[in-house]
Amino acid sequence: MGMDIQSGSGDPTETAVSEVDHTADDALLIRGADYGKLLQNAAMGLYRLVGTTGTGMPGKPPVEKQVSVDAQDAEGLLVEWLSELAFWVETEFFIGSDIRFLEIGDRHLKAAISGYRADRVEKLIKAVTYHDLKILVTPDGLEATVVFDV
Amino acid sequence: MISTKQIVKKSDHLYEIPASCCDGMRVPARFYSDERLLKGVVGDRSLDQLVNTACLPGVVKHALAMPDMHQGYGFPIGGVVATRLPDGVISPGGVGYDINCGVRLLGSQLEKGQIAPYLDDLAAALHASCPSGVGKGGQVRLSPKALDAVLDSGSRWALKNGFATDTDLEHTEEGGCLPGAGASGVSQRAKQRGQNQIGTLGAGNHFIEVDEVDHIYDEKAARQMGLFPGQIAVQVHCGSRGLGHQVCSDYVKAFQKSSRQYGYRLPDRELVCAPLDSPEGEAYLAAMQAAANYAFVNRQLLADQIRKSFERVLAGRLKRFQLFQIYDIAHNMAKIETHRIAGRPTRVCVHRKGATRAFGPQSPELPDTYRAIGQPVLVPGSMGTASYVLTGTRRAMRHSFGSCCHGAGRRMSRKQARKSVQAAALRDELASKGIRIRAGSMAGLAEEAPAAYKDVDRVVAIVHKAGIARLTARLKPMVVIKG
Repeated sequence: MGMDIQSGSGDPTETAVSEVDHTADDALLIRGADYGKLLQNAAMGLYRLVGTTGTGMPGKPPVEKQVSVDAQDAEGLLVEWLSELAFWVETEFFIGSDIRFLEIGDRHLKAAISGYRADRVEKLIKAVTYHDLKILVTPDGLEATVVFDV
Repeated sequence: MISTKQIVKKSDHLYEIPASCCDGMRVPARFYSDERLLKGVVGDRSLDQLVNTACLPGVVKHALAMPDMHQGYGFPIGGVVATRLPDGVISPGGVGYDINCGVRLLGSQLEKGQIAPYLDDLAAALHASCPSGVGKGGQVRLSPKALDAVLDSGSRWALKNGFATDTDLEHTEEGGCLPGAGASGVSQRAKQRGQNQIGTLGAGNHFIEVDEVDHIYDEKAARQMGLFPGQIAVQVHCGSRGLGHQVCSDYVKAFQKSSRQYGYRLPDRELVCAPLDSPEGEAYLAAMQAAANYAFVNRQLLADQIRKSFERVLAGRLKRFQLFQIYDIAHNMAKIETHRIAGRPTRVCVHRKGATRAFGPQSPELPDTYRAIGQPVLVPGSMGTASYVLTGTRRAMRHSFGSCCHGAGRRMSRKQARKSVQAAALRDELASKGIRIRAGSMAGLAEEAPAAYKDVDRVVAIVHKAGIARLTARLKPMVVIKG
C-alpha cells in the first residue's frame, strides 16, 4: 500500500502524508499549509491507512456527516477529529470524500463531510493516540506525526 | 535516548537504570533481558518510556519491563508499574487501549494422531463460527440492558446465560469478573462500538489456534493443569474490542485536563493519570474493570463457539472431544493487589501493559486447583512459532509484582513487515510445516509474520532463568485463525 500522498499544492516534492516506522502501530507524518489543510490531509491519511476497497460514489448513495469536537489544544483537536472519523469507519465503514470546515477555533471545530459507505475496509483503528504528538511550524506550514493504535 | 552506558547489569538477566540517571525518576527502572535482546531494546525508545514510568507520582519499588518489551506509547509494551494506594496514580496508558487483551487456554483428551484427519474440517468450522477480521459482528446480539449486565458481571453473565460452566469461571483470572466494575462509567460511544462486537476475535495479532502440546518441562505442574504430551489444546487471544479501545480513549482525553489540575508534569501525554482516590481515578478504574469484564465474556463466547465447532466436526467420529478450560489470563490490566514493599504488605495498583500476572504457589487469589503449583501463565508466540505455558513463582511475587512476560513482542514495524514479507509465500511456508492458516487479510498476515516478532523461545527462557515464571509446557500450532 503506497502511503505517500501528494499535497496538491502544486509542488511535486511536498508530501502531505507519509508513513513513519513504529514498532507496534502505524504512524503518519502529516503536513499542511495551515491547520485546516493539516486536518484535511490527516483525514486522507487515515482513510488510506484503513485501506478502503469501496468503489466510491457511483452506485452508492451519498452520506452526510456533521462533526463537532472540542479539545484542550490544537493537538487534542487533531486527535478528536481523527477519532471521530475512525469511529464512523468502524461502525459504518463511512469514508469521507469531501470535507468542508465550517468553524476551526483553538479548541473547537465543526465540519460537514460528504462520503459513502464502503463495502469493506482493510484495517480498523483502535485509537488515535497523543503519543509524541506536537504540531510543529515549518517553513511550508505545519506538520505533525500521529501514532494510531491498530 | 538511554544509552548502554546508563545501564547496570544486576544479574545475568536483570538490568537496571538507576534512579539517579535521569531527572524526575522516583525509583529505578529495571528490565529483564539478555545481551542479544538488549541490542534491540536500546535501538527503540522502550527504555526511555520505561524511565518515564519511573517518574509517575506514587510509583513504588521499581518500574519494570519484561524481555518482550518494545516501544509503545506512554508505557513500553511489556511494562509493569505499581503505584501506592491511596494517592498514587492510575494511568490508562499503563493498561493500554485493548483493555484485558488476554489469552485463554482450553485442553482436551484428544491427541494429535486422532485429530489429524479432521484438521481441515476443524479449521473451516472454527473460521466459520468464530467471527474474525474487520467488520465481522458477533452471533450473540445484546440489548443495551444486556450489555450493561456484561459490563457489570463479566463471566457471571455468561454462566447465567448458558455460555460458561462453573469451572470456566474458577479457571479465569478474577473469576472472570472484576468487582467494582461500573457500566455507568462507560460512555455511550464505547457501548456503540462494542454492542455488536461481543464474541468476535477482531484482527491484528488476535488469533485462535489449535495446538499440539509437544513438550512438557514440568510434569507435576502440567499434570495439575491437565496437560500431557501430544495433547490437543486451543488458545484464544483477543480483548475488549472497540468498547475497551473507546474507554481508554475517553479517559486519556479526560485525564489531559486532570493531570494538569493535579499538577503533574509528564513527559508524554499518553502517561496522563489521576490519583487513585480521586473521582477521576475511581471513574477510570470502574470503567476499565467494566471493559475488562467485556473481554472476559468475549473470550468466553468464543470458547463456547470453539466447543460447538469441535462437537460439530468430531461428534460421531471421536470420543471425548469436549474441551475444558485450563486458564484465562489478562495481559493489559490495572489491578489492586497487595505486595511486599520494604518488607511490609502494601496495597498497590499494578499496571501491566503487555505483561501477565504470574502469582506463585499459595497465593489466595488462585483457584484451589492451582494453589499448590502457582498460576498458569499463558505466553503465545506468533504464527508458526511455539507458544508456552509457564507457572507463576514466589520469586515473581518478591521481584516483579507477581508478573511475567506476555508474548514474543514485536521487533519490526508493520510497515517493514509488509515490505519484507510476502503473505502468500508465508502462508505456503506455514502450510508446508503442516500449519493451516485461515486469515481475513493478506496484508494483515504479512504484518503478523513470525519474522516481525522477537524470538519467543528466548523470551520465555529469560523469565524462566530469572525465576519469575517456570516453564511448564510448549505448544506448537496446527491451525491458526486470524482476522
